[in-house]
Amino acid sequence: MQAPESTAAASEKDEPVVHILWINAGLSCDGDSVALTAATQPSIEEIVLGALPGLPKIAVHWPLIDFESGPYGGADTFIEWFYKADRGELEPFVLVIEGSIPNESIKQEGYWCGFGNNPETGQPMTTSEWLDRLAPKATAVLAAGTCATYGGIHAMSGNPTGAMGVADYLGWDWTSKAGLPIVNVPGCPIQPDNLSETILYLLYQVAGQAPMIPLDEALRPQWLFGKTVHEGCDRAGYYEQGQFTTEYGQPECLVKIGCWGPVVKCNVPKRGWMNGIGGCPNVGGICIACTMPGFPDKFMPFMDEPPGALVSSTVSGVYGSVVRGLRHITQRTVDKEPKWRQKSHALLTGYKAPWSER
Amino acid sequence: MTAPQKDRELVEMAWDPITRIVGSLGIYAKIDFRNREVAECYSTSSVFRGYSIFMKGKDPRDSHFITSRICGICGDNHATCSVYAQNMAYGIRPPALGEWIINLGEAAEFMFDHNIFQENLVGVDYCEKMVRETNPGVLALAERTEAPHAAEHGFRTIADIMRSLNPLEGEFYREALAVSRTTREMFCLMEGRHVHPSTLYPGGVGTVATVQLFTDYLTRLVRYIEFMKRVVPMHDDLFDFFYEALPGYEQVGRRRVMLGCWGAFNDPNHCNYNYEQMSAWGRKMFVSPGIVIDGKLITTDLVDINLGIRILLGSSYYEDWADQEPFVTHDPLGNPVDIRHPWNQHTIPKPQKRDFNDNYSWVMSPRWFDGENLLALDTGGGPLARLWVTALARLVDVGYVKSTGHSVLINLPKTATLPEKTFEWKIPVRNGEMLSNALERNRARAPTSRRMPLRSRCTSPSRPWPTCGPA
Repeated sequence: MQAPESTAAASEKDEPVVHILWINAGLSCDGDSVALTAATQPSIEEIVLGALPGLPKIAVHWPLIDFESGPYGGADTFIEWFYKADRGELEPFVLVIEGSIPNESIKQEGYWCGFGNNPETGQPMTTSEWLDRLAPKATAVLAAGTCATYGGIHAMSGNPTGAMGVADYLGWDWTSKAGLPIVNVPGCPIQPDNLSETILYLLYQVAGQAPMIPLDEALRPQWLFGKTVHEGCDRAGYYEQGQFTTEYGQPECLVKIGCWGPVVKCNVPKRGWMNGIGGCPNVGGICIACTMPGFPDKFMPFMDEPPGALVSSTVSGVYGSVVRGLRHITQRTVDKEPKWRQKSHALLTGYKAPWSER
Repeated sequence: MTAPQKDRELVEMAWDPITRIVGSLGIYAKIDFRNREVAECYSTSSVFRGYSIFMKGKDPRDSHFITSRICGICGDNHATCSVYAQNMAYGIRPPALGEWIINLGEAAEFMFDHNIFQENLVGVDYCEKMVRETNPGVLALAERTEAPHAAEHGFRTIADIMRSLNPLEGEFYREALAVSRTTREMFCLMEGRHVHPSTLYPGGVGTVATVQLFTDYLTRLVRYIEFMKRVVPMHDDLFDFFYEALPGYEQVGRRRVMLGCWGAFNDPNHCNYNYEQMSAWGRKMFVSPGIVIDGKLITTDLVDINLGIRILLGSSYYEDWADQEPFVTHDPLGNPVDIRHPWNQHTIPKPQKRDFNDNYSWVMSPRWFDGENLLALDTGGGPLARLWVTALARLVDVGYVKSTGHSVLINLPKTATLPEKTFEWKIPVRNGEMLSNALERNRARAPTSRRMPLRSRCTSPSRPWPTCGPA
């Protein structure tokens, strides 16, 4: 998918194009692709149409909404771009991986997951083989969503495929030929703007308009994952006052019915899900920690109170009930208007009019 | 497959991965261009994840959080069904308000899905750029064809509609993408997050039901309705044009009419999640459950629909489980449960080379047993079966939506700039034949007041057709 050639763009035909190659065929649900179509800051249209100043010209090769749908060996064949990149004919490109990487070496034959075909064998080209071929040639590798970043749901205990994240597969200290580490944007699915904003940042960086993307130890953009859910949650005030709900549909803190917000790095309660609407604990859903490397196993059963919450919520229950009592007193005072606001012949505000006596 | 084998010159064509669809789909076909037939067609899914394996032994209350992750466009439907199943298993009935919030979330999900699928995924198949490349004569005809409903949607010719569907540069393509975001906001109001909801639980929802919540939903809903008053006539003009411009196009994606619908939107006044009474409360759903075979409604009983389901191995990479001990031999009503019913299914993966003469997919083959045959029902992508079953069942009448026994009436209220409007979805019939094909699956995503043209340009007999049309 590429911006239409305008007359202005036609005169700049030699302007280099940054290609985005998107492989959605890890063990995924395509939910991160779908999330990107929900993004508005920026939207996918704005990225592709070059609506932001300083953006390089880009071409996105993305299964979810790609125009190209021609047959093998015919015109407009989607997969051809990936073969081109493999042959070293696309420069530069950003490789986006969606879905976890199964371990193809634990079985006798066949494939757990594939993306198009291997022209030499006529069999599906496994996702891990695509990674082996394309990662060394990519300017940057972006792992989109918790499956691609850390393995996620498909890598939970008892899974048959040996699924893992991209960094587990390529190595946590892997860097691209341009010196970029793998960029992890977790979330199940990914918060739409978190993904579009990271793509925007990487495009600016590739175009020489932004410094090295700041990542934390789990390779997450620091500005998106530096705070906990709890630190951005509009129910944290209830926690402080020791008010915990034990049933659904109530406005108080959800820790006692399974919310992991106090220890989970995620900006969703603050940013909302899209256009500031929705989210998790801020709208009544327990945080199941879907952005975390330990997801899901370390947080299951999701609907039980997290073990550490018992101590902290008990402490907050004692302290909070005192604070709440004091606040009630103050609240009763501030909930009333000052006494001078009334119908009267006398002015009670303290102002002395020049015409008043004395 | 009518042409004798010796006349055939088969051209092999493959599309893998298929774009503008969610999931990992590949299509491999042998095409007889001289006889204008797809002689052989194989669909393959190239991803295995193993949900039914790794969910074993986990806390059942976690199941809807996990099953949602099966699909990244309709995760909510999986979560909702899991919550329904848990309600039945635990014997709990959510408060009515919780049920309504789930219904409103689901409704927003349908609006989102139909909108993005129709305009931004499928719609591209009918856009000017695509038609110019694949069928320039059709585009030339579209330039000369006035849109019959131009006054309602504002596009003078069919080609103007096609141009507006061009990816990104088309004005309507961009508008639809923006509208799909509004419908997702509606979803997030009720269920927290799209596509994997955060506020659904067995027994109810975590959503805090306030006046503001419903105001925020209602204002977006009426804007969406205003949009659809323009969109439905536009779709009719576009799809009817294709029937006229490309004789034989009704055969694209055409299958025998065999549709299955499990119903949608429970009525909290009737649904108690008790299996023994499922037949009764199933018929109170706002979308009727049912099976339609060759245009005839053969049941609306959720118990029969459920018990008839069989999972066959087909051409998939799994080992059989027929020799294993069944989990369930009888349902709570005492009906026998087949070893191939999903309740007795084992998932035993056997990765192997893809071989189109043997096994070639990670997807099994669900069928419905009518007592004699194992039928490959389809849902028509969802909406076609929902409308067809609801139309015939004559069980729904809520004012805004009414089943007539042969159609579904949809009464839309007055909106900001447009008056009240009634749309009617009718059983698609052309030349006396009922149609379950690509265009009608599309059209069902936005039901209509159209009249199918009665005259015919295509005299070829109907025939079974592999499902590899653009839908």
